[in-house]
Amino acid sequence: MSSTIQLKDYSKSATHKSAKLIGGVLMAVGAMCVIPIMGESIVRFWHGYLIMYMFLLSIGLGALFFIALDYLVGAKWSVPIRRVTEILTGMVPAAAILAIPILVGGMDHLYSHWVHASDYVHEVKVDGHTKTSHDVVKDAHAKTEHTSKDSHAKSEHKSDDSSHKKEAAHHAPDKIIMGKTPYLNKNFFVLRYFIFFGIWIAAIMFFRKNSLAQDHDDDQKYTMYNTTLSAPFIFIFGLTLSMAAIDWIMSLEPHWFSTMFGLYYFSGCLVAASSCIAIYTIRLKEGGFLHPDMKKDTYYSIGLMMFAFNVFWTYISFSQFILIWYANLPEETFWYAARADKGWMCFSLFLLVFHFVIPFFALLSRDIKTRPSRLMFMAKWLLLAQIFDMYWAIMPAARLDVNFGLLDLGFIAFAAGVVITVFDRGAATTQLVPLNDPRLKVGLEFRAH
Amino acid sequence: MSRRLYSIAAIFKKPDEIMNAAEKVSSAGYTKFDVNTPYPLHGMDHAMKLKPTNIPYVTLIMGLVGFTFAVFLQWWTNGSAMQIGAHDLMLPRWLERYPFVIGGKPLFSLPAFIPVIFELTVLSAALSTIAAMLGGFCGLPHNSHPLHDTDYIKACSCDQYGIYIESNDPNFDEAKVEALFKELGAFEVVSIYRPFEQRPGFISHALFFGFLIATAVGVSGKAYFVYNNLLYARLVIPGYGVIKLDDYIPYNWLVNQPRLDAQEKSTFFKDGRSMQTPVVNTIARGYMPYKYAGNADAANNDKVNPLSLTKENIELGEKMYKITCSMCHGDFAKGEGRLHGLFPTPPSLHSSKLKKWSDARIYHVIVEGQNVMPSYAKQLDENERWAIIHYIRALQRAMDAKESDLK
Repeated sequence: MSSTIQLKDYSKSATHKSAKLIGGVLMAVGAMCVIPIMGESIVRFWHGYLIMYMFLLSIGLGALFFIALDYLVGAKWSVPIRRVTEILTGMVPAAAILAIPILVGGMDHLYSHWVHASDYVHEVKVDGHTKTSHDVVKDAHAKTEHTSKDSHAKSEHKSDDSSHKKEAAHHAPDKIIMGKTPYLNKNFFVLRYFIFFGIWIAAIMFFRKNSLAQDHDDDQKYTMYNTTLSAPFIFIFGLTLSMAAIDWIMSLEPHWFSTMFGLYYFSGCLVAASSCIAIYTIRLKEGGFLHPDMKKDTYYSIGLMMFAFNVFWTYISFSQFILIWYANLPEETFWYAARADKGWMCFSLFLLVFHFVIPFFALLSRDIKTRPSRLMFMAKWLLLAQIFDMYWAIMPAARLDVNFGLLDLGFIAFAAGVVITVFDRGAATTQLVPLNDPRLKVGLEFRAH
Repeated sequence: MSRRLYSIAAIFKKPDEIMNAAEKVSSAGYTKFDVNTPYPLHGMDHAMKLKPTNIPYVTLIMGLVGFTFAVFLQWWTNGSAMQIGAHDLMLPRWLERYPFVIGGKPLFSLPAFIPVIFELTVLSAALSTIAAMLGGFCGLPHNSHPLHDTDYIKACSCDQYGIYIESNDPNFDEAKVEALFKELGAFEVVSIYRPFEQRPGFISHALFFGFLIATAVGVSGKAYFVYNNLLYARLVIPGYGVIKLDDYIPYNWLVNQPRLDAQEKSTFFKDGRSMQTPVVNTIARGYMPYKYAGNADAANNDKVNPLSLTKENIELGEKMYKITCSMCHGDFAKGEGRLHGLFPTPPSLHSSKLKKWSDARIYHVIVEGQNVMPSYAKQLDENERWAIIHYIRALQRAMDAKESDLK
């Protein structure tokens, strides 16, 4: 089937020019908000940065999941908008770049609990004979207790050796963190960063390459290739995404553990990605860049995805909470206790209302899912909710009060700029409808009832 | 008897035609018409100008009702901090609350209630949706439809497309409808009559329903007045006092008898315990202490087996011996049991020592055990022990039978 319809060229449109400008301005404004006050609290800055990074990553990973899932189950309704999803997977490489500052400069501030713990795993020579790391830590503890009893003046007279031990005591990781060092150490963390992003970006390239190649030579084998890849990939994706969530967020508080934390982040990814897809589908369709035969039933389906995955997010978050709350084990509850302290309690309840109650009732009706302006509003709402969710998951780890302010607004502006820029660049270089996809005709005929 | 016209129907051969027909019929102002196609046609509801169904509102409202009910139920049963007894509110006992502290959680702990709230919301919403669909959409009280078993519906469920306009449509006019269908290019126009002149049957007779309702009201009303202790509970009138209606209670309510629940304080006993310890030296039934405890010789001097030697008792002994003793001592008491080799081999019960022992001496071994043999006092009651001894004696005699026994 050769393309008989003429699509509007995005790269020559006014939308492209304005998006380019808006994206750049937003990024500049964000940076201008953040940079002057980043020195006030460097820990605060890095937590804010991590929120932005995890948010952008969640859009990319959710989009990647939708691509793989749609190929795997042979989805037809999503074919007319598949390019939108494909372009949004570009957030993954963008996030890979944005992660580099954290790896270079932010780890000491974010993951200070464990980032130096591995230094104590190796055997070190103390007082002429070999001691294991545990001994060193024990000694250091004993020494600190000793010094704290003494006056401050006395401690100045300590030899070099004891000051070394004091240094050890300062970062002294406890047994639990020591036990986790085979996984939680800086080298392996960086290695995992390369592995995860390597897998994701390779998959994205494979999917996109095949999808774009089909535009040229109209061959169904590319759909088969992508379907074949998506089956094993979705399994690997689940593993890598879970581990990435554990790496980047859960290890902020390395004493805490939740076996469903990966799923929790995953549900947020799906909410963010489906909302982002909704925004850009509406924007491109209203601008006339998508297939003219596409009906509002496609909006309805995207709205349905937003609704379903938002409920899924609530389900997962609540399941994680109630198990920990009910079992009432101190080693697990402190994570939630930190989010129920004073100001954070208000924020937690706010998140419940903002992320679940209001969108639930707002997206319940069929009407709102087929009206572009309202669906667009709810999609932006849910993206903001995902940022708040990331804020809620990450910021209390710094043990600071609720402090949503200029810094976070700056990061939100920056994130919005990144999304707009990445999408704009992708859209300008891609044909926005997979005209030669064998399922396109059925997808356009899709009706949601 | 004339047949009543139900509707006029038209059959079309192509889906485009039926779509066009549906659009024209709905534009002509007909409301009571329907389309029958062998498979769903997209866009048909638009062509028929169908309004969206109201069933989702039923789902939403009943979901909220289930939600509210679940919150109230859990608040009432466990969550309410007010410790008012049911009697103070003049409520029957089954409405009393059970404010238990579970896992150190507050009485009203919302997170723990959410699973129940969720389940009841979904249950209420789902069941009422189905009920609304059956009642409002499928028209449940009717169990048949005039179109059933007509050639028209057979054609429409096979390969053709049909549309019919009901005769009770406000704009219905037989000639006009037929003309409209002809004009639309119908392949065939048929008149569909009700299968027979429906007379009000017995089941729909007002008198019968009146009888049913009267019976239901009568039975439940009688039960309410006779059995409901709510009516006969004491009446508390603020500013006046308590009126006791106990004299009018038709039944002596066993549920309301004075009793002490577990852990409840007793005002009768001095120490306040509702459960008293037994008097010293009280022996529970069936737990008579063994009189020769630790004294084997005394047992040997007691020559009496209190259990009479009957066939039933020997059979009981055989049964209990096989269950309890045979795995070590063997089915024939020769020490050849199934566990031979796993434990120290028990001696044969056919030795002259055993034969000389009194029954009470063997009883002593069963109760107290001997060497590696443990006590079997817990497994066997007194009768069973004596019955086993009768059976052992029978085995001994069988292994060493005299000539006189054969006669």
